[in-house]
Amino acid sequence: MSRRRPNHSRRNFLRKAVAGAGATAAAVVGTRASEQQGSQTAAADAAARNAVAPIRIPPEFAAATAAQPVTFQFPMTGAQVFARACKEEGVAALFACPGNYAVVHAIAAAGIPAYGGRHEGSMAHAADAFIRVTGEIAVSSGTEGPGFTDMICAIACANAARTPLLIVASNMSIAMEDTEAGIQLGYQQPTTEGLKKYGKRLIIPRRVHEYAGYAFRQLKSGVPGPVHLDFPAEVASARFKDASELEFFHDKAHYRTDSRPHPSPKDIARAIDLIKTARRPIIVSSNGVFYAKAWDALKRVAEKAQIPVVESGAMKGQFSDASPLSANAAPGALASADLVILVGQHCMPTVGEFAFGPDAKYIRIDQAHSDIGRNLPIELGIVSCELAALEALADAVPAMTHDSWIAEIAAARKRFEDQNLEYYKTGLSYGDAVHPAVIAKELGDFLYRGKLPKEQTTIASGGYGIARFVRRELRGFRPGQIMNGAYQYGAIGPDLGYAVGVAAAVQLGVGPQAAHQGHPIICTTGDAGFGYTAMEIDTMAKYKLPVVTIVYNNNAWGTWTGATADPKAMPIHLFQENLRYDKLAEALGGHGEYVTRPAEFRPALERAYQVAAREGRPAVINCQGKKEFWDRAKYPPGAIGKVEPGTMSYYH
Amino acid sequence: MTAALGHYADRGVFRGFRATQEARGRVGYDFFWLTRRPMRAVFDGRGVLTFPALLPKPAAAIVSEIRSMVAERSTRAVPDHKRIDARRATLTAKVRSGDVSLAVDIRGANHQYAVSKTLNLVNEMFVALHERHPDYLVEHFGISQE
Repeated sequence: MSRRRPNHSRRNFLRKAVAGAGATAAAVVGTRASEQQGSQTAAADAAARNAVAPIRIPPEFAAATAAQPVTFQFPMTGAQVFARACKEEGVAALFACPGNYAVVHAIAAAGIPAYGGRHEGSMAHAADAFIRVTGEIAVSSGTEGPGFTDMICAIACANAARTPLLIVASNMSIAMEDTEAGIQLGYQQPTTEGLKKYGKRLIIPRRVHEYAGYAFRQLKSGVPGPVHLDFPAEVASARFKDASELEFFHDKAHYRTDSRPHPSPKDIARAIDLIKTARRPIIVSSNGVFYAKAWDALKRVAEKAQIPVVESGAMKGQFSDASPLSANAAPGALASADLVILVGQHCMPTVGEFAFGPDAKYIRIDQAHSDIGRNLPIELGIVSCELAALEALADAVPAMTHDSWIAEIAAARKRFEDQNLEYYKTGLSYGDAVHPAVIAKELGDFLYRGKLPKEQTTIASGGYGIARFVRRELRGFRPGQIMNGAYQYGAIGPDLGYAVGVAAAVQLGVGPQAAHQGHPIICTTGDAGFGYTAMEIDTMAKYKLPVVTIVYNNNAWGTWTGATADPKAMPIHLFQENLRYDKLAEALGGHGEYVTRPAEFRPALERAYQVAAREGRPAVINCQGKKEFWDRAKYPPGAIGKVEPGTMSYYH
Repeated sequence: MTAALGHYADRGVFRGFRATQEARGRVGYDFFWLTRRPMRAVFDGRGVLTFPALLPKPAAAIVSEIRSMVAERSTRAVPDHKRIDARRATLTAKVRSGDVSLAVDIRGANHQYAVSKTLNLVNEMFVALHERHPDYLVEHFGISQE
């Protein structure tokens, strides 16, 4: 029997196609008697051809959910040893793209919830955001070379935000070091220099568990920051028959401690003296309070001594904005403080970046002895875990009153809210597009003054120009409620990546999100930011992450005003006008809304939220604004700024 | 006056503080404070401390806001601790060649008092600019546009 090879050449394909077209033409000129019947058949054929399969989630997702996690026992590979350490240390989620296969597969197999996305950078941003709203460690992974370098911006953001983010990446093999054999050679550790707390290329397979210990010691002590490990193939694929083939294979109780530095009684006494003599003391609560889970102690100090609290940091909500002691929305009062107690403010502002006046004295409570006194002059530094220091202060401080100071804050809050209302009314008057002040106010009404419990919805707060209005309306009523997107590094593109992480945290009910598990989250962003990470709508859809993304679409980067005198440069700042980001969401399995008038926004928000809540589907509300809203002369108030710390802050 | 202003340098609030004896008994003070642009104040030796061109070339809306803030400082619209006692010092904002200058006329030996009140007001002016006119700070004070 002869065997003929199939001829798949391009020429053969074209020949068949032409013959097929000829046959079709012949059919068209067939007998008139069969024309009507033929036309019905053709219509049916056309309909069949045009019918497209619906977007669907592959069945493998359900299978993954149903699969039992593996408890790795010897014999193990290096990747499995590392994954087991991650599991033992309570790593709460993995965000990755394919690559570094042995390690990510082992981490997923170990039962650590795993999310795969469209871009390693987005996934690392997701891990960062997940940590910022849970306080728990998450890991992000990418392949050697491009996957790793795609994560650089996210590592930098996490570093600026002092996020304990674990970054792992594969990195070729030790045996082929420097040869450029294969692809993707890169020296990873120098690339993350200055962007991490600790990093290591693992080069001795039998020390893989020891270096897991190095990583978790850094992630779980002192001031947090990213840890970056790169795995050559020899380490990930090494095989160990038993523990004797590994160095330092022992329980975490023997390679790190949960002990924390406590304040000296002398320092606490001095702090109490300063508090007693102050007339207008204020506490700045930042990252350290969140990671130390010190919010109850913070509340105790504030209420006992009647000291107002204002927040800064990469997340907000440690102190409830429902309290009359909250100064988050009282920027006009901050300059009056005469004693500022900075707690866990790892990213220090310089003089002039915080609103406090020149006569304010500062107490700084921080775990990093070497950082106390940097940038802002201190009256007293207290080296301590934030929780221990706040508990000591709560015990030692006498009951006090600061009635006139609290009244001043209340008056400033009223002025701020009146100003917001004024912006809203002005925004409404611009009826031909949606002004950001309208979005901000309507969103605030929906989240905090409508049917939803005000502490329910977690926010991934992002964007550039839109953020300057929305932040004025966002409030935190419980820890981890607001993820402060850009923060000090200022990247505007990560927002949808951040939203994946925030939504995953809420979906899993990790840490402070437990009480709000399963509820939709809100992501605010601009059209510029949306462009970077919009493909993650697919990630949201396939994992059923109910994210309502509000895109402020003003057809431009928020920076366009800086190019008004440079016509040749202006197009750098502009996009096509009236782009349909809502359609993009629909194409990726999400729900889309397009809003072009102020009155349309709230109903669209209600519909989008319902879809997210009911179907677990992401939604995008494309709010059509216009770039000229930043022009103060034509459209007051124009582009507005921020005051830090408090609800508007994002640098610190 | 040098001691009153130097106090803020000693506390780390001002950076690069320098006092220079100038003509007709005047003393010039140069320092960095709220931004990376140098600030300058001049004491005339007779009781007036001036921040010349504190705000260069502001728009009319900014001038109006600044004037309101200065005027408000001696009224009950502001809390007691912010209020300036006219028996001890008076503040004026003037526009010269398009620049806003701020001056405090000090009565008697109230230098520390007047300096404190004035500096607190200047701080609040910059807070207000940050909130409502960030573009002005970008253009004239090198604040990041990001």
